Amino acid sequence: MLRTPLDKDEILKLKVGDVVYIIGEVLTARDEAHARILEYLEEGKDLPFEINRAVIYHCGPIVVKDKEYRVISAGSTTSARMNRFTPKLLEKVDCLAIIGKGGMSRDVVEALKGKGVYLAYTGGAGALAAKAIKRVKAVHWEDLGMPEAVWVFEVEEFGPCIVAIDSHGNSLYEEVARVVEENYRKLKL
Amino acid sequence: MPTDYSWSTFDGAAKLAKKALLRNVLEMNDYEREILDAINSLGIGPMGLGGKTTALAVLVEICFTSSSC
Repeated sequence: MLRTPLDKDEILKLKVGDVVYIIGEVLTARDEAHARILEYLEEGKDLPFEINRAVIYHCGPIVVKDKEYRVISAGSTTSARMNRFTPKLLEKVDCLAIIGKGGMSRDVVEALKGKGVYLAYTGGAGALAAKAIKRVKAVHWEDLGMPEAVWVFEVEEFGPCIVAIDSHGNSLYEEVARVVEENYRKLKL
Repeated sequence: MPTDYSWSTFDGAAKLAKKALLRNVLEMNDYEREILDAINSLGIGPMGLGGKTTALAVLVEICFTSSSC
C-alpha cells in the first residue's frame, strides 16, 4: 500500500516487479496537462495542485456530473507520449509516482533515479480503475476538455500497479526487451 | 484454410479483420497455431511486462488483391 502524499523512503525501497496499491489522491494528466504544467513551472507560476510527492496517472477519464461527479471509466493511456515532458517535470519535484501503460523511455528511467517510480496499470481495465475511485475531489483546467483536464481522484486501494521502473535505474520493459530479443534470435520459422 | 478466396482492394482488409475477430478461437488451423506458438515463445507477456502468454489466439484470413490496389 502506498499512501499519499508519498513517503520518499518507501518509494526508494520499491523494486521492479513489486505490486502496490494506492490509497489517497491521484492526479490525472495527459499530453496537454503535461504541456501546461511545464509552462507554469517555466514561468514560475504556482500550480493549482501539488505535484511534489504526488501520484500522476496517465489517464483521460470519462466522468459524468449528476449531483456530483461520477467516474465511469478511468483506464490508463499510453505513457510513451509523455516521454518528452516527464524528465523536465521530474527536475522540479523531489518525489513522484507515475501510473501508466506501456512504459517510458531511458531518459525517464534516468530522471526517476533517486526520486520516483513508474507503475504499470493494466490497459483496458478502465471500469476496474473507476471502482477504486471513491470521489472526485477537484478538477483543474477543464478548458482542456474532459480527458485532458487534471482530475483529482480520491482512491482506495487503486491497483494492482506493478513497479515497472524503480528509482535505481531498473526498467522491467528493458529487461523484457532483452529476453525477447534473445528468444527472437532462437526462433525457427 | 478456405479455398474460395475472394478478391478485394485495401479496404477489404478491415472486413477480413472483423471476420477473423469473430471466429471461434478454439478452431485455429495448424498454420495459425504455429504463429501463436512462435509469438508466445518470445516472452513479451501481458502488457509487455514479461511472461508466457502474449497472445491468446491467431486467426488469419486470406484474400487476393492486385499490387497496384
